[in-house]
Amino acid sequence: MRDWRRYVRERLGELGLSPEREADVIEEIAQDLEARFADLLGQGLTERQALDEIDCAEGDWSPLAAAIRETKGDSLGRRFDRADPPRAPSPSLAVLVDGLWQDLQSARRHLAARPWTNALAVLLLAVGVGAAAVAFIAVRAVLFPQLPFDSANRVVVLHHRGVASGREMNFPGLIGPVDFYRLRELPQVFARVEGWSRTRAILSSPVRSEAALVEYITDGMFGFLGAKAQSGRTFSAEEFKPGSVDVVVIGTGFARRHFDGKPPVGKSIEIDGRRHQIVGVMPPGFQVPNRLIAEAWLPIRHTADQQAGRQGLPIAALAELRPGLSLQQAKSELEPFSAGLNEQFGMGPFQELQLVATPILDLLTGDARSTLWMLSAAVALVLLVAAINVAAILLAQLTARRREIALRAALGAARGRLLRQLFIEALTLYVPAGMGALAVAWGLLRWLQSAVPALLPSAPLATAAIPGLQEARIDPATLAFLGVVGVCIAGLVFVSRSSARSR
Amino acid sequence: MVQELKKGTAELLVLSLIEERARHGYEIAKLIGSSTDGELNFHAASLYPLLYRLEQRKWIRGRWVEKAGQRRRRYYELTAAGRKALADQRSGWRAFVKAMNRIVGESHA
Repeated sequence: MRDWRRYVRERLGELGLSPEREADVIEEIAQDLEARFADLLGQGLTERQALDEIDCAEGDWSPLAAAIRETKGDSLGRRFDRADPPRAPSPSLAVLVDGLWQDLQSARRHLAARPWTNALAVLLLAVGVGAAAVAFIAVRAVLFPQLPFDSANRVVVLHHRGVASGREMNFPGLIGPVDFYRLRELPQVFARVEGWSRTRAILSSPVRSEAALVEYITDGMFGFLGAKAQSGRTFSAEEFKPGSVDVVVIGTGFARRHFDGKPPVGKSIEIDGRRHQIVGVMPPGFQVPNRLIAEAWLPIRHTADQQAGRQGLPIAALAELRPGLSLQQAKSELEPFSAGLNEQFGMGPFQELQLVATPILDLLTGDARSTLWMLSAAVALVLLVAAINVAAILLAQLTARRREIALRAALGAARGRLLRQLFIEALTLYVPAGMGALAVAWGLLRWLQSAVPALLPSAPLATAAIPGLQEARIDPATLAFLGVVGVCIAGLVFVSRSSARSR
Repeated sequence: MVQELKKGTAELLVLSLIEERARHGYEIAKLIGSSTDGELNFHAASLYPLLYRLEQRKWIRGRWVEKAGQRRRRYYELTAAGRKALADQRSGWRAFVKAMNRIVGESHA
């Protein structure tokens, strides 16, 4: 039997193809000639005649060889031959780095090619993500307020609720001295009761005078807040007694402004013209839980007469429920207690007057929660609109680039490589957008911190409208949030691009 | 004369023959020969360069197929691009034939 492969190989000569492709070409043409040969024999020709016929018909083989070389048969159809296409060897590190560099350059070129569209995409993302980050900060501040108490869920604010001329009124946090001191006599309800009273005063140091907020506090207040002086000390029990030496604890801000870095402890300042000795300086950021930050703290000194009546400095009272006691139990204990006080001291202009305990977490988050939900919903909408716009912009670009991608695929770029390039492009868009988002978040947070207390109705106890917002900073958790949003958006863009690519 | 025309229409012939189903090279050559009563003949030397060229253009796709008890053979099928090219060439051919008939056909009628 004639060896048609050898016949073809001898006539075609060197093809310069890969061994597999060359074998395929030779096999295919050999099969063709073998079939022709069989047909000719079937028509009654002898082997010699049939072979001559084929030799004559095919004539010169060199144009065929040249045509095969020209079409570089290697790129043709080979992949259909095997169940498992040959795998490319895994790239070395240098190849990988080079590839990444190429992808970055390519991404840079594409960004530069459409500067305005890409700038718009970056701007939309920056605003959307930046606003989302601020909403995240605010929601976190409200849902997890940073309170100084060990057991914040047992801390209640004690205040009066009264009805006068048919209208119900709340007196946020302010109760008379007698109410306060009697509450301290309820150990079956409260583990501790502390309070403060705020006033504005003229504080004068040798350097200058300023009008500042000062807070009178009860003897256990610093301990309740877990606060210690940064330098010096807080008040001794003796210093809460009327007639003892006037002492004051100041804040770091005041110390910095008035003592120029020199230790103020032991020096004196005048408060409303009265000399007070500085015994301690509180650490930065210390404040009793409310919106306004005081510059100095003084011991509350109620005389025995004041303690037995409703005259004298009113107090904003904070109490810690006795462990194991529910809020409902505390309220039912408070009712007869309050009625007893009313009987003794009257209700003034009120038809009803009742001491009420409200959990501090409710007060701090109550008003802000609904505001925050609205804010979050608005911001989520902004983020969504931004993401949709960006996706639309990028998809429009992609349509324009489909030819390029198809060409790269045709030239043999692996799918993984193309996907990596698209992913890097998405990232290069996100990195400037992320930086922009940080700037937007910073600016928005600053604006919110200055504007929100004024924008929102005052919460009871004059707490910050969004508690914790004043102290909120762009912290690692916020950066992590930005990172997660970034990866999600980059992933979204990447998926939409690659799915558009595969369509 | 016939051979001259063959060069310009070879692509159209091959594309038309694999429009309905995939065929191997010799089958295509044989079909062309039998359908034209031997007026047109494609030898290996002219058929395969043409097939490889069309494949490189992605108009057709070659695939080795193994059938039980037979040797594997390379079958060619039309791609989407090939289908479009075939439609274009076909309408071009019809326009050409129509134009030619108006001059050549009518003068001999």
